[in-house]
Amino acid sequence: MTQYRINAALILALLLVPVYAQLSGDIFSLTLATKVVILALAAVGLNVALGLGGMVSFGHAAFFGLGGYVTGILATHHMNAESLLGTGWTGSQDMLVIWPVAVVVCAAAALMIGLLSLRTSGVYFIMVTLAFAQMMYYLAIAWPAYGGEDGLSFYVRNQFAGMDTMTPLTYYLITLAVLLCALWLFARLSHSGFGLVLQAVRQNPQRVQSVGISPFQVQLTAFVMSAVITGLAGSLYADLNRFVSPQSLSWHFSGEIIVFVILGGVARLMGPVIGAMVFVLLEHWLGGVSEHWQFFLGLTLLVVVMFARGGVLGLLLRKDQP
Amino acid sequence: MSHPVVELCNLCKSYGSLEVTANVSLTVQPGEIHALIGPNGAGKSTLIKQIVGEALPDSGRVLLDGRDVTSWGMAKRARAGVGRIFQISSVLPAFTVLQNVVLAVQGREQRVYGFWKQALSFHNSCDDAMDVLEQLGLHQRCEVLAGNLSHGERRRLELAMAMALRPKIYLLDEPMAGIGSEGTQDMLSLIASLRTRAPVLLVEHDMDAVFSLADRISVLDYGHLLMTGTPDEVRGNEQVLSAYLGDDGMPTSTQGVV
Amino acid sequence: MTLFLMAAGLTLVFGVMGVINLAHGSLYMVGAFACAAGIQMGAGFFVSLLFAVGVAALTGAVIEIVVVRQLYQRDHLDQVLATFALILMANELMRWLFGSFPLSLDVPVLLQGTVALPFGVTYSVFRLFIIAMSVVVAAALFVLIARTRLGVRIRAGQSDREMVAALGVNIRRLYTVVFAIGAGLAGLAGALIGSLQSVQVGMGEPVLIIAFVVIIIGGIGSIFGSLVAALLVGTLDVMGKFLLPIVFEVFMPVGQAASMGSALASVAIYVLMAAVLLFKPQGLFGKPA
Repeated sequence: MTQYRINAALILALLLVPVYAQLSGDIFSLTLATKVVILALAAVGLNVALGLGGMVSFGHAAFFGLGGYVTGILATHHMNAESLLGTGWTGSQDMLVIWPVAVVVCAAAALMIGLLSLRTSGVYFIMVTLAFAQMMYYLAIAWPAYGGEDGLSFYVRNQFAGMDTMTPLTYYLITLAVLLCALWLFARLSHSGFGLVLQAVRQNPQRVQSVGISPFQVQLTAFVMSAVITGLAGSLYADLNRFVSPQSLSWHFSGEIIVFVILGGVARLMGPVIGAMVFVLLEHWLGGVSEHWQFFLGLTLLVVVMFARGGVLGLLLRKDQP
Repeated sequence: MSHPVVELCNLCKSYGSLEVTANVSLTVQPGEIHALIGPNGAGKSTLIKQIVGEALPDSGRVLLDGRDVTSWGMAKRARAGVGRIFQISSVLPAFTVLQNVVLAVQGREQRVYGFWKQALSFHNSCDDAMDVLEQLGLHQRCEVLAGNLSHGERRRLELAMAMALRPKIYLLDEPMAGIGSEGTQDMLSLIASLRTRAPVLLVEHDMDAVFSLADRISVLDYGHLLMTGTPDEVRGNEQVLSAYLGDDGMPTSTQGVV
Repeated sequence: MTLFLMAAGLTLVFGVMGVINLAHGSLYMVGAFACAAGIQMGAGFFVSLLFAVGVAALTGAVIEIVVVRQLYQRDHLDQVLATFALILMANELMRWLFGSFPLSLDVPVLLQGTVALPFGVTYSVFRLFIIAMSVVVAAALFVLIARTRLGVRIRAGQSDREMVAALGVNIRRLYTVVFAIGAGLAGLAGALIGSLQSVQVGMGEPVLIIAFVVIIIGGIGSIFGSLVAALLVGTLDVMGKFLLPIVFEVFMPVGQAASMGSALASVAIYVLMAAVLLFKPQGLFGKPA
């Protein structure tokens, strides 16, 4: 099995889901598939920082949640015709407006968090990113105007170019389009000049310095790019559920995003997609079997980490890597 | 005398009470191969670190092409023309040989933030990289992952990466280390040929190599610079002899001196 | 002060073995549940406390032997993920054994009530007991590390793993012991706090994160750093929860001020962490990278 065949098969599967849903009338699986696509997008974002850059961010939920909250806040303000922070702007319910805002906000947050976190490395970095995500979690809980602990509901899904986004099929196609764009970008990025430098920094930062390149700036750039993609996923997720809560900022969720990447195969293009698929399916099937399904999820993860480090793709491809 | 490419002025560094570099001053002139020798623990590696920017001196100055680079970091000095080989090979194991050298070329061209165009589609850069690999006899192995190379090939790849930088000075930290008797002659001629591009500062234990290659030799002992001179001058110097061998005479071949 | 117990255990494990253990929070939870279980079975409070420490330490040892041991050579990501997996498993295990509702663990009669301190402040006896216990444990740790043979081995292991192994010390046993000590500390903290609040699944996690913050501020590997940082963080937390609502009351209704104040007090800790990172990335007492 070559990588190309597997990748093609996966994309085909994603494209065929709506066909199956239309034929069988099974709308629930369409919603489930949308969830897979969005979580895969979040993981693609993390894959830039983690897979390519070697930065183990345990705080990526911060960006996911931030994207979600931007969406929720803009939508709520627009619905209630309230102005934001006294600027006179009443928000928006148009995805094409919300997405750029989410991107800018996440980029700014990532810049600040990255500037502080990237001064550390290794274990420190993991703990620091985790801590920053927790900080945002507490901030979100503390803000009663936006739901606090119970989260923020906005009842109508946002608009996209005049299409009826409430139809599950339409929304699935929108999210799938975004995912495919992100995957394409990731593929280009990993073989680009920047991608080469980034992956070099992951392997040996001192080596990169000796050819005249500063690792810190490279990592910061990658971190911001990674955050933006994950943030966009958060925005899409909020629209899927018409709801955003502090749970999406929790470190449990950060861990889950890492799990998607690792399960599928870290640094591989389609790794995040497989990882998200396996996770959601496990959650769905095992959840039906036992309410203690998280135990088995943990067990699976443990086994994968101990014995199948390359994830599903690693097993399928059996490449020899140094 | 022409301007030195590298000049160290009164460099001092101590780790606690241990004086590792004691008031060392030396120059590297254009076109020369300058060897740095001394018994183990003499402070040669620390001196190299202070030149490349991996360690900072307590006092004194490091001048590159007349510019004071004493406070500059490693990356900045590399951009200014310092080309260095690590004592322990540190090529990038998950990259191919070609990718390793292309990285160096990107560093030289300061082409870091290209997000779109594929790295290997820059024909000029790839040609430059392949040129260097050819000179080092590695062009046939360009698609091999660096992690799968033999030790000698890795040393040559390190040299290729340094050459791809087209530096103003080559800093070679024990380039002969681990190279078997077959590769020795090739490595020697490679290093000798470098002097046409840029001067070489060479740290080595292999005395045969040192005495055949070097134009000038500096001898370090306990952080102090004993002398700088031609190979003949060094060979006959009393202080050097006693530093290396106590009171025994200095054999003509001192391979494996500890 | 229990924060110090958690942080000390974590930093000990990391300092000696270079392993980051997310499941430390789960060990905290195990200790709490063990203590509650002990009391339910009829044992007295102090016995249950010891029982809790023992169970936690034992669990720690088992975890070390089965899982962590395989991970020493691996990179931190693997360690993080494996211990994260353990958290998931531990939480469900506890839920299965004890159900989802919080258990209550009562303060023993001996330690109930309050005591009058100078300046007219009344303070709960139990909290004083916790402080006292923490001080005793801290002192015991210092003595252990500084004076005993085990302590010497631990410190040596921190600086140079291979040398210690070469000197014939049984490194594997040393690691298991250190891990068990760390686990015991966590279990003790869990049992103590469980008596104060409640015992429920997932109780260890918020504490774990703050323990991380304490370690970052204090510096990895330094127990003294953990002590100082724990005190700093604890004080900041208490002061924040006290002062901020008062500050907010100036321009906000009381109810809102209280909730925002206390939530933002939690944020204050992270702000402190960010400040430390800005000026001293290796922590106040950490060794420079």
